[in-house]
Amino acid sequence: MTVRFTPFHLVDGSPWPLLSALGAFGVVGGLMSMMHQHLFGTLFFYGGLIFLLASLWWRDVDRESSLLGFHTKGVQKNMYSGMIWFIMSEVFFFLGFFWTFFHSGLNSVIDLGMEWPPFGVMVLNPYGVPLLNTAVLISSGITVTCSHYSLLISDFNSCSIWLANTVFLGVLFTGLQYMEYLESSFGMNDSVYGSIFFMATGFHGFHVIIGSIFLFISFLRILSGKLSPNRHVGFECAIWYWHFVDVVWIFLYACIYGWGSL
Amino acid sequence: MSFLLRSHLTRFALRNVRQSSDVSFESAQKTMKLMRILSLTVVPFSIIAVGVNAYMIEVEHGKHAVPEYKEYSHIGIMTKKYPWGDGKHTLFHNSRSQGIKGKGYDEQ
Repeated sequence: MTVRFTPFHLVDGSPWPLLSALGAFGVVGGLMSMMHQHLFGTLFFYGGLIFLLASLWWRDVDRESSLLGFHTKGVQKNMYSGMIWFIMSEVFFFLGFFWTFFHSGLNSVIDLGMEWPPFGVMVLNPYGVPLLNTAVLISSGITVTCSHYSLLISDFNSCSIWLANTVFLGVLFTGLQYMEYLESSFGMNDSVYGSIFFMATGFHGFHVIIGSIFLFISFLRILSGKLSPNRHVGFECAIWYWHFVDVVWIFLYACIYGWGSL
Repeated sequence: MSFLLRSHLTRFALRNVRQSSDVSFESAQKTMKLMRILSLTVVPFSIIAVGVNAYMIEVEHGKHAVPEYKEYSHIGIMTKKYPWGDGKHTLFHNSRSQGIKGKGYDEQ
């Protein structure tokens, strides 16, 4: 048995970092070849490979934390701060899109008919499906809190039920957004409004999918007994990510759907 | 010597460690009770109410005819073909209400 004298986790050798980096390179290459009118099989292949490699890497982290016991309090603390740094980087990512939206929205140009929304763009009614999406996401924030507190009082059944409800609401949101995308009367190439609308809401939808997957994995880990009231770093990080996704949607709704439709 | 280093490292790594499990059982139970009430009442009620409203708005919207197709330079920008299909349709193209430059709506 190896005896360790630091509170840090000195990881064993692993092939996943190098393979994931090569996979990421393939995704970028695939995107570029897609932009140059080649078939996007390359993108899908490397995209799928990244997904597989990430799953294998995180499977190892899951085993190191629960079965192998390498995650000391110090390691957990660093995991928490790492997640906070990551979420901060995502906040700045979305900040760029909001900057673009307000830059274009507050500086009317003659090309767009000197108005915002641009002349000819029929914006979505914010009191329809977008408001429903807002209700769904805020509700999912409540149910995920319910799930978390169930875990803290050791009620594992309620925890998994409320987490399943949260994942269901996340999938419902994605489905509703997909329907909205199909029904909308403007596309991504309809002036800068369409472009920024679909970039911002599209990336947000992608983050909702990622967050739903993260919560679903936590659901599986609860069912397999890997989480306890005192030890659930992954679950808490998934909840933080979900709240971040919710807050970004509130801003999207208020700025783009709300103010943008006035 | 190495013992001193180890204990310093441990203290450094564990400073400010605070976890949600530090919350007391009683306060967690109280919060859980409130969350359960909200999840069983506010959540379904709000989703159903807003959902019904959204459905009625969509039905009303569907009754309106699509406006006549007019070409503007800033609408339907097509400087480069898309790598799918005929290259002229966006990914979520709506044949009824999104026109193609030089052609109009796909569905009349």
